[in-house]
Amino acid sequence: MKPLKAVLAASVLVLGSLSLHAATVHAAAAASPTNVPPTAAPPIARIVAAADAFLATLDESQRKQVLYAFDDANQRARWSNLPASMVPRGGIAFRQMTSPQKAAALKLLASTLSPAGFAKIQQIMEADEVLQQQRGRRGGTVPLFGRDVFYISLLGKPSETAPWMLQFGGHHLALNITLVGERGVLTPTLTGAQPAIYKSGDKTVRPLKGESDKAIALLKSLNARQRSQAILGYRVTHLVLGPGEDGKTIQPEGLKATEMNANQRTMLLELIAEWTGIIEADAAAARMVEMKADMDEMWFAWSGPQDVEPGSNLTAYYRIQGPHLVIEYAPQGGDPAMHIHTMYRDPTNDYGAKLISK
Amino acid sequence: MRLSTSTIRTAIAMTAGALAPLAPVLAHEVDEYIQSTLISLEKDHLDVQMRLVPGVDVFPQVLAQIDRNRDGLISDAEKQAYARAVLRDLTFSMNGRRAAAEIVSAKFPSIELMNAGLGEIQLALHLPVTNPSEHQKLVLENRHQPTISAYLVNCLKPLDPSVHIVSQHRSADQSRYELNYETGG
Repeated sequence: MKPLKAVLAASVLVLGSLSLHAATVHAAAAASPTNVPPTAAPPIARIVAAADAFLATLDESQRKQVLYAFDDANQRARWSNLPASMVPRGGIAFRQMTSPQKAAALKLLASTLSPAGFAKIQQIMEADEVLQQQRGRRGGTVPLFGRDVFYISLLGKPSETAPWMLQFGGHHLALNITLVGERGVLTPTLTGAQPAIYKSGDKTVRPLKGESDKAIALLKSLNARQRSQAILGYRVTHLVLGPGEDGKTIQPEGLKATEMNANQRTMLLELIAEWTGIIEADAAAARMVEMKADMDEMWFAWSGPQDVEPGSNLTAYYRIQGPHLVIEYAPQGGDPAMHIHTMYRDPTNDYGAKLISK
Repeated sequence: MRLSTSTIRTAIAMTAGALAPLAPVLAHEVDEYIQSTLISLEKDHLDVQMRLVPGVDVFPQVLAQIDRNRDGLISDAEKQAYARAVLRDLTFSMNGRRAAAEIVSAKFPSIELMNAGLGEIQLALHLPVTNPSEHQKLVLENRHQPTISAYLVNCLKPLDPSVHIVSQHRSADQSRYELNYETGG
């Protein structure tokens, strides 16, 4: 087994046979960085240690490739849902790293994320690997798809007190993690998947399962009056506030959370947690405090089919919006259950703007 | 304020090619021309930002409207002409009266980028609000390339606290958008 695979969680996959709706892959069991015993060190100390350890594995030219000034606005905005061969990313790609370097990069990533968040990110990357196997290696010098075409970069020097940023992404993934002391900000972050359902051995993997299942459960909990408010009378086929729309807030629409009962409000919070919970536990908890405080100003809007095939993904668009939140879930054309884009923003604090200005 | 042709030409010249391959594009649908419109409300005017992204399969149809002389290049004159053509396919009305929008800027990526499905044409429009009243009703109809287009139209939350959005209504495909808003004071 390659060293990288020893680091990746159980979602490290070897491609198997494919079908229209589910690519069959076989799991290769492996130790996961998420299985590392927790330590008493504060998250930022662990994250900085992991960042320093990663940088120490790089040679001088690689370090130059990875490091950007914290105020490099171009690099900050250099993310997309598209493959890196179409929209080049900054930083260094997995394909440009040795196995120990990849392992250190993944350990850094894992230190900034929750176990569930890290697993989700790995599943998104593996979906892209499945896509690579389905479509074949394309894209010229830079492959179009696959787990090796994900990039990592750091803006600013890893610090326990000063602001810095970790960017990680590729096709259907853009994590923008701003760290300021004990505060961590995950917005803006784009997640997505294609195929959004695939097989790992005998297990079906849906990287965005919670985002789909919890949303349809919330919709189905609504009564007719609530549904009539939540469901938009028009078709939404794409992210409204995707890449390039930083800091913007559109007029909210749909059902306001004040019109929901206590159980529905809890369901809404649990749905939001699919995104807020990607980051490590302390930062996620702080974010959820903010989400709960904003609950009366939250909105839930839906466009598209109101049912989903058992075990499949939503083919409807939905949006959750609050004073400090925009979440969008946008299935794409072709087979929309198999190709999903999502966006997670805080228009008031994208890239930690509020923390940095203090 | 109506912008002159030379002003438009200058704006296009200044921004042409500014969209590097790094410019974030909306999506990668191959068979749609995504037209995303964001409206920003001010008391005396509206700013309208359009992001037009032709998918690979429909790009030839879009290019045919841009590259009128079929020389494989997009000249400044063709950029201006296309921006005006898009504007002609938009109908703005305010309180039931036809309103004239102006082109502030038009940014075009390279043909190569658009050919790869990565190019995003960006149009910035300005719509003066003449005779503003307390209750305003804007209607925007977009008839640009309807057979291949997917429309998105939204209004940004007003920054001016005296401007208040009352309601929004859209046709099923978002080609028609109605916005009711109030301007206090």
